[in-house]
Amino acid sequence: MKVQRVRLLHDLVYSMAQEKPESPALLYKKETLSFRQLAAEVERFSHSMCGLGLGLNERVGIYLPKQLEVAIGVFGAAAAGGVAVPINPMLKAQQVSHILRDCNVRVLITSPSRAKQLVDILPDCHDLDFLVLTGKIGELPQFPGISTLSWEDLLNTPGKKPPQRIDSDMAAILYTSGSTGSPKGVVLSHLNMVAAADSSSEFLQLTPSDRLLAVLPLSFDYGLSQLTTAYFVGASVVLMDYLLPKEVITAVVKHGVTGISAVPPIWNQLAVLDWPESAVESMRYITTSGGAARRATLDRLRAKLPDTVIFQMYGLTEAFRSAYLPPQEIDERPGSVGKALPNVELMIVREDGTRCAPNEPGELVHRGSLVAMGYWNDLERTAQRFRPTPGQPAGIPIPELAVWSGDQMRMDADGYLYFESRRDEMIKTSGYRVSPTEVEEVIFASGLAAETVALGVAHPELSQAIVLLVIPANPEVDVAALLDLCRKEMPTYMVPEHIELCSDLPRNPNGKIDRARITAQYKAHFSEVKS
Amino acid sequence: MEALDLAKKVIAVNLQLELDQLTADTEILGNFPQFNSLTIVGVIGSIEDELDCAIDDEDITTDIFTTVGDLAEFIESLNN
Repeated sequence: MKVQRVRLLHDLVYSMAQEKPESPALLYKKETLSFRQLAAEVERFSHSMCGLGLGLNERVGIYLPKQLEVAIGVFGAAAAGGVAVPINPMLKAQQVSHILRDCNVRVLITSPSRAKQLVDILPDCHDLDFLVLTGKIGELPQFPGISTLSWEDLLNTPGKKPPQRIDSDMAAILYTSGSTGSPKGVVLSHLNMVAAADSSSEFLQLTPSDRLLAVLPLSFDYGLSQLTTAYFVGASVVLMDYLLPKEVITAVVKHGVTGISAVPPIWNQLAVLDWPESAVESMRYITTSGGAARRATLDRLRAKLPDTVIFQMYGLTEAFRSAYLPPQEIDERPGSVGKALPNVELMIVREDGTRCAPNEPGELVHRGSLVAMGYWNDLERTAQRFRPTPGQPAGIPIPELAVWSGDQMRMDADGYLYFESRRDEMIKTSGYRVSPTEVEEVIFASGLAAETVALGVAHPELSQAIVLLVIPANPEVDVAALLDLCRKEMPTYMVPEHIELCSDLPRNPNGKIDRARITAQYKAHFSEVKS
Repeated sequence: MEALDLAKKVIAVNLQLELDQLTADTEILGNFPQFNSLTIVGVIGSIEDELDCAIDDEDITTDIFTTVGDLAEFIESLNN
């Protein structure tokens, strides 16, 4: 497959197969695929998919733990003229069913044992025609209207040349949960993904000698960009499902990993481990996104990895990735989530759509080539989030759509952003607006908490009162100690009304604390306490 | 209790599965969506309770969760 310029998602693999055919591209357990081998797998998969009868823009679901077939399937579905729908392997049958039906998945790739767990839901997936299993089909029942074949069967299907695509065609759908309603499928074009890979590899200064450890799920924009960003420059990626923190360090040592991207709860765990000398030497950079990183965690990481640069990032699945904080700015601009990625414009706007002055809080709006194509088959929610760009010259008759993030931020005079809160997470208590992160930072900085979350819960007198959940850092930590700390460090209105110790906090499938779920659990807390 | 039976029991309890779904060959890692780092903590805790022993963090790797049989082997190794 000859590629002159990288314009399409699968060009990322094909172009490197020309430039650096024998360089390692993808590592998983004991296997290593070079770019030449990966490109051959992707091409064969795409031809087989077309031979099977996958039509233009049809969706291919991939429900697997991280393994070679996920990467081959994502690039291969796009190369076939179809659309990759990576499904988080932590989702259960009902949630998988929602995705398969919502975006009319035609081909599902999964393992035999996972398929067994889906037997009850598969018959209701109206558009599913093919079930491709990575392994022996075995005793799986036959589903009416669905052909079941093994990965080998698929690859032995007589191939057909895939149709030509352009970069404004759709390439992938990533499902994301909001605070309300069922998960939405964000439609990403080839342009969205290639432009994001270009932009991210530029500020990360990635080179072909970089080796990324992909611990985040590939169903998540930040996770999928581990592959696309690496392949934009010909770097290699090691696939790993995150389970035990210490095994991340083992993998870093074993593979000479230079870069890791992860969410704050993972960094909180990794920051307290011992990093051996060889890991300290190989690690060139880390990135953290998906919520504000704890200051104490960043400080610990910097102490343990003195030569590793830390990029904080901010992104919305609706625009793939948005902002990054250059490592040297961590001390200059503490608390900032960064500035716009190369070739992205970010602006802060008031409720009336006019632009905010520097440091005036407002809603973050993202414009540029990373703005997604909307939510699949959801006009209403698309219209809320994808709206005309503020300040477009009146002479341009066609409005350019930007993503209105719903996140409240302020921007300093140099374009650096500071998170205020998600609009729906801001706590309003006794007439004050309190950001949950502000409260959490105080608790976390004290060293008393391994993890913590603050919520606003409806309260008869205060409008909302603050509930604080804490996973204690050690068995000596009790509620009294936490309350003492809050009273000492916080203004009165910020002191939690209720503090609770817990051994665990609910997480969403991307590993982030699931605030929506916790909020729902505590919704009636103060009315119950009163009665 | 035989190591394999104990392995089945702790997996069934911690992953909310039926005992008869499990054999020595049942894959755990990558197979069950509900299997995560907290499940590992839960399974290890259950084994410690059942055998009234303490398991060293150093000995816990994800490899012992590849299949139910691998977990049984790990349990066996604790007895020695």
